[in-house]
Amino acid sequence: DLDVVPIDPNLDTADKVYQTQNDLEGGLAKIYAGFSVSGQQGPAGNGDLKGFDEGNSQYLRGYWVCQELPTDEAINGWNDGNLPKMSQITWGGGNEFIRSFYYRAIYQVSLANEFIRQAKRFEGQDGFDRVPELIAEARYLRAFAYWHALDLFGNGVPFVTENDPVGAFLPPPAGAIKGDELFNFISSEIKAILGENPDDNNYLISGSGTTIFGRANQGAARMLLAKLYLNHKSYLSSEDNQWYTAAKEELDKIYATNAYSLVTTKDAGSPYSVYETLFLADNQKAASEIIWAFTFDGQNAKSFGGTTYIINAGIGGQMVSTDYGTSGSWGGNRTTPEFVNLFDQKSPTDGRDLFFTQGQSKEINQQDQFTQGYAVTKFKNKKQDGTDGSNLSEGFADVNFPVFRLADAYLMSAELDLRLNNTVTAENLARINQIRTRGGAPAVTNAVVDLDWMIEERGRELYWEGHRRTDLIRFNQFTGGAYVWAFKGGNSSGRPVEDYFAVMPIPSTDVNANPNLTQNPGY
Amino acid sequence: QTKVSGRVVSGDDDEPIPGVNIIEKGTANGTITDGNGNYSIQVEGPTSVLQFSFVGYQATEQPVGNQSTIDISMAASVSELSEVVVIGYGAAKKEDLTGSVKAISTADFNQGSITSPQELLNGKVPGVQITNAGGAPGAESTIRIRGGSSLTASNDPLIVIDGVPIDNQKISGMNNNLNTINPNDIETFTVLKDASATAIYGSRASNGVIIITTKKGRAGGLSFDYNGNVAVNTVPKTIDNLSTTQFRDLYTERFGNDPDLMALLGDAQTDWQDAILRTSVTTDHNASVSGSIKDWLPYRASVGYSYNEGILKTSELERFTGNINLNPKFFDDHLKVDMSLKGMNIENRFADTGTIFGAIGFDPTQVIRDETEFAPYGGYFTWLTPNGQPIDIAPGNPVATLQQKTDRSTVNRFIGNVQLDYKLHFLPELHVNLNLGTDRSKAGGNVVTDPMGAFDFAAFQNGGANRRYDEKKRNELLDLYLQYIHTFEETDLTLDVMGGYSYQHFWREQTETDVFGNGNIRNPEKIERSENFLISFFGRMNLNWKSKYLITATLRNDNSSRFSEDNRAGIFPSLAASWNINNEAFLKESQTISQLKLRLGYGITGQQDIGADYGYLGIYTRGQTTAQAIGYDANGNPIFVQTIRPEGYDENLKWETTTTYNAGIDFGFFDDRLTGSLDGYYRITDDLLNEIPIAAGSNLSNQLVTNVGSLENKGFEFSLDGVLIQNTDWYWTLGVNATYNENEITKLTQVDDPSYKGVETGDIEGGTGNRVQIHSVGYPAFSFYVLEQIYDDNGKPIEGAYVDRDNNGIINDDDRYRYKNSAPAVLLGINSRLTYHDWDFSFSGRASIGNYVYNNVNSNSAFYNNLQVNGRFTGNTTTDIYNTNFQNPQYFSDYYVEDASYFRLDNVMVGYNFHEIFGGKWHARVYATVNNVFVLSGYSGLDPEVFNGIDRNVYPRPRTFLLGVNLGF
Amino acid sequence: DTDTPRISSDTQGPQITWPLKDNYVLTVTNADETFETFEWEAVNYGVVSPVSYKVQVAEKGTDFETVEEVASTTDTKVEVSNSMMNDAVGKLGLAPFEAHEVEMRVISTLGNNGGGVISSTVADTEITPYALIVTWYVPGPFNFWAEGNEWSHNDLDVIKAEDGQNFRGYLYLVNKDGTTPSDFKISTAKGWELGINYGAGDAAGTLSDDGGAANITAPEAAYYLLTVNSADLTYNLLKTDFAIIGAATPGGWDNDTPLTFNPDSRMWEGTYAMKGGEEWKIRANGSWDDPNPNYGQGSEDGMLSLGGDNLVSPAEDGMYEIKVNLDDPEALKYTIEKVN
Ligand SMILES: [Ca+2]
Ligand SMILES: [Ca+2]
Repeated sequence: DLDVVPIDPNLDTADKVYQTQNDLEGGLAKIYAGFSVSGQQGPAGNGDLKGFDEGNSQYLRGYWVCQELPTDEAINGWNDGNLPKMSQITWGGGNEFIRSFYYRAIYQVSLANEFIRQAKRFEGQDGFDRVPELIAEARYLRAFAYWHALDLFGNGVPFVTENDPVGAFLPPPAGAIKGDELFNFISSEIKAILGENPDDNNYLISGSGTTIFGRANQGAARMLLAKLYLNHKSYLSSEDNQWYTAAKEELDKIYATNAYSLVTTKDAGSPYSVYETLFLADNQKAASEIIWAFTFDGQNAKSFGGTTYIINAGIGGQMVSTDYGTSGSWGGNRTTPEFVNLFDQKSPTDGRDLFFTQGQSKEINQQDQFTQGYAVTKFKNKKQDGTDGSNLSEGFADVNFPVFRLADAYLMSAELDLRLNNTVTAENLARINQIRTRGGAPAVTNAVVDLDWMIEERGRELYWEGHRRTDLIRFNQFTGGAYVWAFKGGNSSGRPVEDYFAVMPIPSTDVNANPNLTQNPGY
Repeated sequence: QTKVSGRVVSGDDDEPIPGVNIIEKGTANGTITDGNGNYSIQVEGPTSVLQFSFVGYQATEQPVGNQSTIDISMAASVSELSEVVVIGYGAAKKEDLTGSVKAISTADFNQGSITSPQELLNGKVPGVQITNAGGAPGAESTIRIRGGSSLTASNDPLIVIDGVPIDNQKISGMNNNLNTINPNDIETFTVLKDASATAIYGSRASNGVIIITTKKGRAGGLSFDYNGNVAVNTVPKTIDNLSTTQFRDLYTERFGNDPDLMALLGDAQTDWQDAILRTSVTTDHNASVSGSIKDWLPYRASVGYSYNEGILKTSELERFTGNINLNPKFFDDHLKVDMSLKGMNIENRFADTGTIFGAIGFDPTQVIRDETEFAPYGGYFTWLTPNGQPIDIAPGNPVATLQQKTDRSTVNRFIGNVQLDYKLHFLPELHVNLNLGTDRSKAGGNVVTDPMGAFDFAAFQNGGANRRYDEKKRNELLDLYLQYIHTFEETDLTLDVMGGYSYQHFWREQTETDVFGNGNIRNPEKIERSENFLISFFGRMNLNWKSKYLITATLRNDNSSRFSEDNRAGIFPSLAASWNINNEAFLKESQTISQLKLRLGYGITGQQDIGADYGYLGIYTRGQTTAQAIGYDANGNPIFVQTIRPEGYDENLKWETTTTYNAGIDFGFFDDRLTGSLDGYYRITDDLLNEIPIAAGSNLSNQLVTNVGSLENKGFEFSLDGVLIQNTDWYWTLGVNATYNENEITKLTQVDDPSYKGVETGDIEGGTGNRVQIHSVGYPAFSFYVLEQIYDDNGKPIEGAYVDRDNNGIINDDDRYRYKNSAPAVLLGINSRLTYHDWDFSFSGRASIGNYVYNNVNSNSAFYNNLQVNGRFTGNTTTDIYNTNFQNPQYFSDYYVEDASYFRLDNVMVGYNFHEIFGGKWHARVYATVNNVFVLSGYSGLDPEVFNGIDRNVYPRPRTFLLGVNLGF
Repeated sequence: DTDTPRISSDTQGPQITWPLKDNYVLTVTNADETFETFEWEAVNYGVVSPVSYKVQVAEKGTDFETVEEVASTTDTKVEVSNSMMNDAVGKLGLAPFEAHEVEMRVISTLGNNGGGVISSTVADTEITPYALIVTWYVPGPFNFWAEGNEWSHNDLDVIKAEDGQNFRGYLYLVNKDGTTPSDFKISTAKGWELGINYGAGDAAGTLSDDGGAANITAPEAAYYLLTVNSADLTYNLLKTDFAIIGAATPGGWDNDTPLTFNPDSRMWEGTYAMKGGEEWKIRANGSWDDPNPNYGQGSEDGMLSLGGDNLVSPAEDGMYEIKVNLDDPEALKYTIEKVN
């Protein structure tokens, strides 16, 4: 009697739960779902993480709060604990919003480790032919979460792989701040699943364009490498052109597959612009451009995070939520006047400026008032034909979140040209103009395109897609006073902030729980 | 008229007894003996009967008849010392006890509006703290014996009802586990405090044991008893929030120049707290019969009914109880059978307690209802967007929430057991005891949201909602023990040995569905099922030499399915000795000291109630269809995959163990007219079970229940009960008790690092995941962990100004410090009873000193950013805003940690007894009580009595006025 | 409670020796220079907690009722530039190019919402600020093109001064009939009641703020560049006819290829066969000489700058529609789009 096994129909031990290859798909699905939902019950009720409001603990919401709220692209003043400090860049080690994303990112790593451990037991067995590929996907997802952890928290985050036990031990940090351990790990992991790591080439990820939309493939893997290399200056102790060259090579390999192309057409009769269709409820139709996405569904993947958060939190004032295919209007996120100026003053005729301005002032004097600052209507829970997403009444979105997009790759290529040779190649200039033309903006010439222009153009094309903080850091505009915007530093007109804010603090709860870790400098 | 005189002496030593009460039965006529024990009294005549009574002696009656001299030799009362006290797996004479055990029986119970058994006990026993969660009908009550020994594992004592240990995990729809029993059916509570008494219950005994016995059938004639009362509950106090005028003034001061913001205000004057609270009525009836069928089957049967309206509108509870006890004996009393069946049915309607905080924060200028303007929402005021849609994130109308949400549940529970005690015919010194018991319950309820209920936005959009939940629990018990008692006459040594086996199985299942009114599914059906087992062996040996020297040793071996094979078995020993000094020759003759006993005890107990049944197993949870992973095929069609989640676990999970040392002294003076006891204890808990934030990456969760560290509790308990006045007219008793407890965490083994701050705990409302308490080495558990507020020269807090404790020029988490804690240092209890002829008067009260409370109501309300949100809706704050002037919340300020020491007068009662009704056969009593009479405290919130010290959303405890009658024969 | 940290009421404010001169004249050219460096002794509140300091300025005699922050620091020293000072004085609403008596002080605060304020001694000086980009409005009957409403103050018919003094702006001074020249006035604010309204002065090319001053008249119905010097209150109207010129244009570098003003779109427009990848410019009145403006590449694509580098036409040869929008003197724009 004392050797109990779960009698709950939804609970099982590992040996029972994994019996077929299909069961393993369910385990891998959890890692994917870990980016989209907050737990085993949608929208909430059986969360993966404990001690947080469940919606806030969702991966994309946490990432977005860390990547967008501290930038010119978004501002939020919800009276929600320390949330206003995210937009002010005045956070500390106790900030609960940073904490919830930190644990979520490391949780994704733990999930992947556990999956790899379990899946390896079946390697080579009959009926488990896809196991190597599943493991490769898990390794990609782990490397991806580690990249986010590296980008936000630096090289001092806890480092665990499938070779570590599950239990009460204290993981070591990957290395010291600005060390290269995690950078190298991510790089070698991705090289391995691409078959480009001679020491480790048993687990290969499927080729670009051959997998299901939403699942990782070579294209996603190369984008991750390109991002890692492009931003190496933020991660490593110095800047080195070899990494720019390496990034360029990865992007060129993506183009070489011919698997991707910009979306330049839309369904006949669609009330939306082509650019807008990339961010609609049926944006899986944009699979040719979206290299990898976090997938969402208003009925089958409900959460209070994800694109539901991005859409609902961006609706307020005189906006009518049903115009955006939702019933939620949480009145939180909008954008700063400095970001609006990237359009009004710098690219005045541009179809990508999806702002709602009625009843909204451009200027922001009070952070907590939604009507101050233009609202952003880029993401909409509407289909191309103008009909609503699948769950209007509860307000959960279907919109898939583009993590990596070909347009981003094009802009990265042009930027790499500038960083390496101070000028953009004709090919990459043409790519920039393809993006601009598609977005309804006039073409540009080489005379205009320099690094200062690139960071602005990245904002215009990629705003609210979770790139801004990383981008501004790369262009030395995130901290310091080179660029200030409303409420940067906590001041309505903006003021410089100290450089240490470029890396977020490791949450004090974990510095406490794990004495192997060292707090990032400044905190 | 006849004169009677005589002399009263002690049966022990023939010494005269002065001060004996002598009353002519049925009259107020009486006298007392003089210094030589002599008395004389005029009585009616030969039919008169004299009653003699004196503390410490058995009362006696003498018919006068023809006698004019009546000399009486009074036998020392069996009273206190020979009282039989129920202990684990058996019973013992109080005199023979070696541990810290306190028994409370009917006569000592609190009186008045008692709906839950805990209330009978409140303030009566030193070292026992009872906190009810608030004033909701059937609210949860937390019992703590000698402070908690655990951090996150349960600190609830083990409760044993008529020999059946009940499951401490609550069943949905019944917040108070003890409500299974009607307080009127309870005969005794025995509180086992120290390990020498509790260790026989092994792994569940670390937080003490409360043994409850219900009233038994007695041989003899039929008797009947009825108890009924009606009570009125009033709202004693509401939270001090801004009045309509204050709110309008403050709002205008800040937003007067913004017409859009001013337009949000309404024209009404609404006191939202007043709108959701009420004066309510409670009634309780209980009838019992007892007697014996044909002399061999003593029985007692009772039925109870109570109806309790809460002071929060719409909350109510209706309870039916039935109890049958059969206590026959067979074979010349060799076989004793005790059978007990208890059934209970509760019908609840819960009111959403979130409306209490909601009412504090709701704009007082808005109307409650406007049939025309708010017709789509049932007429209830609703915050709307500019285009007339309810705002999903705006606060819901508290009155609408109460009226448009119907949350009803039904709970049925049955506890039954049969206990066979067989004294062997060939060896009567040996008896075998078999106890078979079961505890089953079934609960179910529906939470129905009206289609017009705008406060639940998703339900409003989908034609209302209905959440249905069901829960079943079973607990089966088999106990078998043998006991051998032998007295070696030549040495006057008594040996009492007991050994036994116990098996207990706990099983539970919960199901839940959540469907919208239009048929859409809000949450797919959910089933959770779990079980655990406990298998034990136990034994006890008592040695009693000359009733002076007593030794008790116990040993228990517990095996729990909640731990892996390696950690499953636990051994829990105890040893205790006591010395009845008053039985020594040099005290035997003492006139002053009637009782003096020294006790020493040591024991180890455990704790396995960690909430999780599979905490050591790596298990996987399947995801629901609403939380799937999605991919899209080449045509853009979705492919959904259900997920499997690995759960965090600690395969080394094991018992938490508590070692207790106890030293005590029991004393009685003046023939026990004054009795008392003093205990000192020292408890060390090791391998503390605690849910802690674990090192990220080390497991499959961010928090885990694991064994970390040690803590200590040290304290004293003192009680004193005395008869202050005793004469023919008056009888006055007074009891006081005091507890001092000190708690300190001595180790947190997760890390051995001096810079390790500890484990944060104490979730608050506001933000997400913010915590204001910490467990740290060298400090009491649940110490507040806050920033030290700086005040201006007027004594007002300066927003954001805190002491920079590490003096590094920035204020951050490292500047938090440990400041006070929620546990009281000292608890005091006082109760008194005064009788004058047929009148009686009593009161009881409690004081708690040194308990601190974090005022989360203020910290989450009183700041200007609450006044309006996005220009779309407004909100009220508490008047604390006048003191702080905070713009933004300052959750971590120690300003909100307040000294919440208090004295509460729990109840006052006055009663009158009628003797001569229905020819003297019947007795009757009428009484009136006030419960929760007043609270004295410097705490600024609603009520200083807050379990665990974070004051968030307390259902106000009502003040109750009650009129009751008791009738019987 | 005696052990709660409480600041003492007799704490001294920041002790500062004021370095102020008697007067300061701030200009666009000395904007980046140091106004003064202020230094003071740390305030001891008697509690260990970070202290912030703010240098403040207010109009003299107002007892700091309306106050502006010049600089803020947690240090005990701050260097203030002329532009910082000018910003603060500007926000006080003190008119540019006039000397104003002001008072300054340093306050210390605790916490993050300006609590526990203690002030230093107050010092005074005289400051002449310069203007930031200033917009003046040009109401007249020609406004109907914008608002359908005569003599309105609107955001399109404006002149702006980047140095606060020299205003420029383009105006289509044509009456509703489409043929007669429009007269106008110049207002320093968007509305008659809000600021100063200038009419024509007695001498040609001068302005007068007399309420009865005459309207300013345009010589003919045409498109003009209006320039105003606010210091000496003079103005000039330059009739401008825009054209394109350069290797990319049909006329090459030798001949202007004219653009036409479209009153509906308010833009200069023209559709021509352009050569791909060649250079070109936009100029007025067929001249490269002052005051006739020519425009080249601006700071961003689609933006023009006075005398800027040559523009480059799109790569392909073909028919292109060119539009030039000169409504916002701060943001002169153009587009070149292929037509089929
Ligand atoms: Ca989707
Ligand atoms: Ca500090």
